[in-house]
Amino acid sequence: MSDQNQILEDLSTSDYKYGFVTNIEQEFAPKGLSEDIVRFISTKKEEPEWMLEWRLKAFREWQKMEEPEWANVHFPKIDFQDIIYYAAPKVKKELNSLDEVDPELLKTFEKLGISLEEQKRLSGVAMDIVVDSVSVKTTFQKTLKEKGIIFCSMSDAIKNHPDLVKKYIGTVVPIKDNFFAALNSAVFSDGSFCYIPKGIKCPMELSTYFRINAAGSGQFERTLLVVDEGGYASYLEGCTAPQRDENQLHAAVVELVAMDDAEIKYSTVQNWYPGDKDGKGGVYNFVTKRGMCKGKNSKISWTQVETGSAITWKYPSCILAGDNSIGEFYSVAVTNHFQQADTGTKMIHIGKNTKSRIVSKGISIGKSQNTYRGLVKVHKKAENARNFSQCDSLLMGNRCGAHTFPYIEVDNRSAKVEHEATTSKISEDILFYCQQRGIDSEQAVAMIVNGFCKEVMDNLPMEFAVEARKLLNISLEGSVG
Amino acid sequence: MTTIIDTSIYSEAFDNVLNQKALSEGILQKKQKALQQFEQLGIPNMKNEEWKNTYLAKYLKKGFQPGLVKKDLSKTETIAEILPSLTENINRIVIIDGLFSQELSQIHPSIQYNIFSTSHCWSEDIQNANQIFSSLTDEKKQSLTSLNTALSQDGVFIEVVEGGSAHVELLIVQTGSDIISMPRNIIQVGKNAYLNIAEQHILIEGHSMTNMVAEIVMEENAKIEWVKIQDAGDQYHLIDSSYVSQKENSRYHCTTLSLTGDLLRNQQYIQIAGEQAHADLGGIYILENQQQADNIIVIEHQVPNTTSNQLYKGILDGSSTGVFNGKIIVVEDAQKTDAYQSNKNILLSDDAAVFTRPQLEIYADDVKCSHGATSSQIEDYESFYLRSRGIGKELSKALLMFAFVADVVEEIENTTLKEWVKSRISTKLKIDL
Repeated sequence: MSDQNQILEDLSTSDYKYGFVTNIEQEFAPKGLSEDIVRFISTKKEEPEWMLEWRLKAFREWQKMEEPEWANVHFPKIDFQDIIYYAAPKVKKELNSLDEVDPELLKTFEKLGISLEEQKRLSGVAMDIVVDSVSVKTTFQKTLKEKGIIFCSMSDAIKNHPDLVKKYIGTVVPIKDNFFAALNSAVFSDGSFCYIPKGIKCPMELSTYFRINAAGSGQFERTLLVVDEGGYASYLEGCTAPQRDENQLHAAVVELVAMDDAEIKYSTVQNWYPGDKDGKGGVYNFVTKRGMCKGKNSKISWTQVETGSAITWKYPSCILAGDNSIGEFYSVAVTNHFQQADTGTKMIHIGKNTKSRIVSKGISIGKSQNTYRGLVKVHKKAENARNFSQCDSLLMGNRCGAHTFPYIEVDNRSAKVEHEATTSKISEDILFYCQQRGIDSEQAVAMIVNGFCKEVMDNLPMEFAVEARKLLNISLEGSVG
Repeated sequence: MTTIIDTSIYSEAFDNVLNQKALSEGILQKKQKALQQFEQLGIPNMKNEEWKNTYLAKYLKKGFQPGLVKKDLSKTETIAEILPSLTENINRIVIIDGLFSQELSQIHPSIQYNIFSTSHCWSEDIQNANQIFSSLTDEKKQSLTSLNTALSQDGVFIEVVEGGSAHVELLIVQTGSDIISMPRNIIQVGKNAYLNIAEQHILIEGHSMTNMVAEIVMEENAKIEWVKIQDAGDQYHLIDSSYVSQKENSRYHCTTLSLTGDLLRNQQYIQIAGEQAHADLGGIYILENQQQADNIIVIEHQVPNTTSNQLYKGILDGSSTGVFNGKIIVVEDAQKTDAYQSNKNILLSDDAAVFTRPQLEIYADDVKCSHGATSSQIEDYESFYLRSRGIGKELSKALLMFAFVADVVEEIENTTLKEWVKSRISTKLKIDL
């Protein structure tokens, strides 16, 4: 038992490894939010008139809204006037090769273990690197271009593909959707845009590395991913943030649209600064992620590994509007120290023969609070809908909490909906079994946790699985030999 | 859908109720405090998470008003004819429109228990009852319960003394007036004592609404078995809230059978405050037409080594609605808690709907908690199995439904109560056992 206590002790005191600050010159907007700031951002980004109108509309809606309080998280009230809504590295000219990228920045990536060259050469991953909201470098554009795939930053998309952006932006997450989505719509700085044309299967994993960099600047990404008939795309999103005392707000919006027979796989590894072990600092991660299975036989699959952020508030959802469409959600959320996570998913069944599957694994350590909140809704017309949900929580330490709030609403008799959840700690029996066979308790805990998360990890693309395991190991530091 | 209902009529009703009978200072204070709390909270609307799927205003708009209920002895005889026949050795308590009926109740004197009307406790200052009154409900901040605390005129107080046992038949009779009746029941089961209650609701004519509240205190080793049958027709509206406090090694077992009613809302708030205590909640709802049944359960495990079990099963036909909102709370240091929760539903029609929310809120690590929820229809292969053996379509369906809910019934220990529930279900499903 004392061994185990030692492990828990080690594990709950281990520090965040990726905390460092990159010194790149920044250009800031003045603090605060007003119509002028929205105009400033829009002008700065040389946006067309309709985009500005759209932002202003969102801003006006946002002003009417109140910050939601229903989530099971507690934090001091955010002063939205004390945030810098625009910060861009002063890189004016277009970059053609990696040599032109700020060496400081390249070092940052090296520290994160994702050397850009290596990524380019070995993994064939196209990276749309975002540092503080503005796209610095987009690689592999040419390869993609040959296939007719558009993969660029949101601001480029607004300039070069306004019709596509205009057609899809805000269709999955309307500007009025929620408080943070409205805020994002008003002030989003940049993000990724991807369009896969009819019948094209994207040959590589699309990836974006986000980093929050400047102190006191919020980051408001906007990602829009449209896969046309018969297309396929796999998108990777990963995050680490430097160590800061000041809380940083992150309110992103991700919209996915899948047309007939299209498939989207969206994977996230999130490792933002969670605050130190006394609960000081850390990123507030309030994200709206939603996918629309618009066409027949379409499929959207969310996979996420969440180990960072002081507060996570995120519900990647699927609207299953097309007949025979499929939605999936696989999640591992690890909370340590004073972290709070309120995460889960929504599966809205509208079309006939729609299927959804939810597998959520929560691990609470130290004094953290981990909540699963989900909704499965079967509409009246959704004949033969099928859902399976499983939410398991693992508690490590007697001061943490694990909570489950599933909502199940069924309006159609032919629907088959199943939900099950369990909460427990690592049982003495299992530990004993391992130890009895010569595995020390530290390794045993690691094995058990890895086994507990396996189903989710197996769903990550290979490039990401390595990194995800690495993150899990850091979160469980002390228990992995 | 978020109609705000004017609460001033409730405040006026309060003055009328107060003027009727001399109440002791303590009771009066509690009632005034409750009225203030109610005025603060207002009538719950659908923005309230617990009332998300229940449009209370729709039912209140049918003309139900709070008010002073006056005893009407002229109806006694008619009611007496309707009541089920008396069973020997069982105490019968009849509450008519929220008032304890001395005439129709039949209480066998015994040293093992005391049964009084709540109004008697208030006017005669019966300490036990008055101490419990409002002690469990206060902090839960349920506006309709506060309303009951403020406006209730009567009800029943059952005290089972240490080591005693009591069998009670509780009949809630509504004559069909427009007044929302507010019976207030107080139950105290002493050390090693046992109480079983068979509760039934009867509506004489017209339509009616009952907002009933019970506060139940269980001492060490106390045991309660309670069966509630709600089958008073589609003009009946019921909000039944129970607040239970359990001490060491006590056993609380309540089974609710919701068969007919426009709105049947059962709220159970259970505090398990003694080690080795156990709470067992079962529920069956078999609904059709526009009926709606809600089961709201909050079980709070406050100390280590306690267990609870919730098992709710529903069969929904017509355009009926079933709501299950169960919550298990395990507070810090309440280690070795075992808590289970299950809600299963069968939908028989396209217009029926089910809303289920099994929730866990856990702040201790050494616990075993789980929940499950399902919704589906009767599978073809299931009925095929029976039909291929020569059983007719209707009967095979009924048999499958009976089997579906049977495990809730089997949990009931007391055989008389178990048989009673079984027979009511088989009548409802039209099967001859």
